[in-house]
Amino acid sequence: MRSNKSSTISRRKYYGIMFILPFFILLSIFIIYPIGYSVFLSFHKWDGSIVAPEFIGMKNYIFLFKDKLFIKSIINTWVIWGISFIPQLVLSLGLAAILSNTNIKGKGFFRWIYFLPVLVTMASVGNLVFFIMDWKTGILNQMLMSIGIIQEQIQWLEKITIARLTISITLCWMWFGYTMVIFMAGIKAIPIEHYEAGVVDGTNKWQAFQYITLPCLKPTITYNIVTSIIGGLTMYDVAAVVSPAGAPQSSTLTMVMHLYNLGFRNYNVGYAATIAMGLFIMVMLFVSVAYNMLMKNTQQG
Amino acid sequence: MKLAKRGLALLLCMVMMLVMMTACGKTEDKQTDAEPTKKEDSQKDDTKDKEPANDAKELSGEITFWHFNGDEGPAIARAFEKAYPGVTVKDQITADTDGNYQTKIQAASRSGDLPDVYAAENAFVKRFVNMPGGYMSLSSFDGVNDVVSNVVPFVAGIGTNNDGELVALSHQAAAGAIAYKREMAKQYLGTDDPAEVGEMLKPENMLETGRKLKDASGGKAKLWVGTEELFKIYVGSRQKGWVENGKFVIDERIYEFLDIAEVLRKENLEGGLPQWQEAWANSIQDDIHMCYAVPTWGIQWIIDCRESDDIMVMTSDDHPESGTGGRWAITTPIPYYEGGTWFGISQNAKNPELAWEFIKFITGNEDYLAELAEAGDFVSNTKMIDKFKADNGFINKVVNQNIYQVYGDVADKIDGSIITQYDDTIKTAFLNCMNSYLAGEISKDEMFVQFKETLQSQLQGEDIAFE
Repeated sequence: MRSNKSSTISRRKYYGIMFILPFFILLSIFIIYPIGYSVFLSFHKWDGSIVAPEFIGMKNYIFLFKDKLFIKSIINTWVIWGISFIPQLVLSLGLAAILSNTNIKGKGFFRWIYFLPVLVTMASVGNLVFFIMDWKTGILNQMLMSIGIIQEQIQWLEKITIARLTISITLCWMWFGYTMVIFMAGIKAIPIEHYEAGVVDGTNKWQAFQYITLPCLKPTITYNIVTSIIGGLTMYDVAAVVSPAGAPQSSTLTMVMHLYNLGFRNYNVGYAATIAMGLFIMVMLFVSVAYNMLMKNTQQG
Repeated sequence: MKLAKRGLALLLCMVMMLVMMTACGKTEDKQTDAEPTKKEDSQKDDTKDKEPANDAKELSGEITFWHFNGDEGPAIARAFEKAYPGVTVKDQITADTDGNYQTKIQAASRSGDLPDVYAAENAFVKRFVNMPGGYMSLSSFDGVNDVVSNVVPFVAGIGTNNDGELVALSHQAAAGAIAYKREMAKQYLGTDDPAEVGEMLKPENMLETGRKLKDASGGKAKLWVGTEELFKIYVGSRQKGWVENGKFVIDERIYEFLDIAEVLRKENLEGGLPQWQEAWANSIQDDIHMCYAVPTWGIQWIIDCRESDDIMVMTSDDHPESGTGGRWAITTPIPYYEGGTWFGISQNAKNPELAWEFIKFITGNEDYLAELAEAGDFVSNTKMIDKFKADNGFINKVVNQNIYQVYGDVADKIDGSIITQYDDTIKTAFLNCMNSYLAGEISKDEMFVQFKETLQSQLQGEDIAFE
């Protein structure tokens, strides 16, 4: 009887391992092995040819800390992400609260229309923005000149602040709908009794939002911040289309753009792998800091 | 109702999956912006219908051939097959969008799966020529000296690697000229004669010509479509390469270019349109932008493919004299080169001898080169260049001139040895910094500081000293 039970348990364990094995094989081939190989390459000099990578120790990492362009790309990425995410968070939270808790007509329509930008590809949006902002043929200059606000065409995308703002606003516009939907799901999960208790205590809508909705949404806010950090630090598409090669003055060159240029345009694969490692560590660091800060003392109800 | 909802959900899933599948395609790809589709595939269509060429040598076998251009690649393959019916050329086209073609070649070189022959565009030819495990040396093949002696020197120079070995050759010599719209030149400058206009476009006269054009047109006309055109001319006419003896060098021509570009931009003498963008393409047909940097291949791929069909075809009845009439003309006040496609044999070619015959064919077969010339190309074979140069009746209908007489004079003046594998990276970095400078956002000194900083990062690991 005892041996039957233990053989059943080990059979179950065996089945469990069998079921998760295909996933782990794929994970190893497409995630773990490439990460490991990138770590290996980051200590080597290699141009991607048949010549074996040359071990150079920490030289790539030492250069990483001296690389002005890489440091610039870190600043660019954070600035562009920060400018896009803060309004995105506020806007999506506000809209989610309005569309979840009030009886307005056409709620479903608004939900759908705000989510629509998420479905458009980043490259298409980037091209659209470029057609608006281009100094010679863009409609922004043409419009402003036709109504007499400006006399000469302005090279919007050659101004650092405007170029960064353009990308940030584009990203905010593209992603606020997605963030809003996540918040709406989070608001829906808040027990109605909390709001009823609030009504009994005499809270108004703003106080209910401040003292009930926000605290209960902390895990959802954390999720949105964490995923946005990951997405923001790996930003590439819109920036690459709106301002190729990170112009003006490399002010819109993101970390991934820099990595891509090095690895796939200049074939400096070793150093590109080093940048990938730097990016990886940065993402892990900031995600864990954000998570710990936000989830500290989280209490429900 | 529940069943209907489930059925609808399942149908939508299947539709989504089918839509995803339609994005999957063959390796063969469309044209890149750099080389748009020709309006008339005269070269391709003609080769199918004609009788096979008589050739004393019979060849047979099969070679694999990779190219990045969906027009040129198959056309060359079919031409070789037509000349040698016993040969099969298995061509595969992968556009170089986002460097896809280069990545494919790189990966194939590592796995030993390179084709017998593969193409290299000017932007990355030096990298391919110097890539370990890439092209094999052509010096061991029969008749290589004859072939090289009949090819424009700079073409062979670019196909030579850092060890001095010839590994690639091109069927075309991409010498450069300035193409201008005749009507605009006649109306605003008083002449459309190529020699006179060429004189006006020399560096010492260029700004004055631009101002004259602007004044005469009431501010409407611009001498250049953009500063990038002029940049290409100055870069292609340098005496020194960007990297010499391990040091980063900026040729004097670049400083000259910047001085002129600054004035052109300040005084609104150029259109500010970057090349290959839609506005630039549309400007070909307008009467605002006069001059364009047009290398030999540009007559087909810059002008002809974008101009309207009914504007320029001159007949001998209209303008019997070559060099007159028509919408466009070319002149060569500044010798330069830009572009071209090279071909070499891979080190693990399965059929290197037949691959060499392929290279010899595209660089030396007179019937094939004559067809290319008829279609508007400028071949690299010096015998054919001399032949067409001497033929006053050999008129290119786009510019109503004998392009071999125009480009032929500058082809010998080009130095292919100054080209490096870093040129494309350096050019991109320069243009980005230059645009900020011309926009007035940074000073010239700041521009060069940022230019060098960018390159120090981009070319990290290369043994280049930046001073």
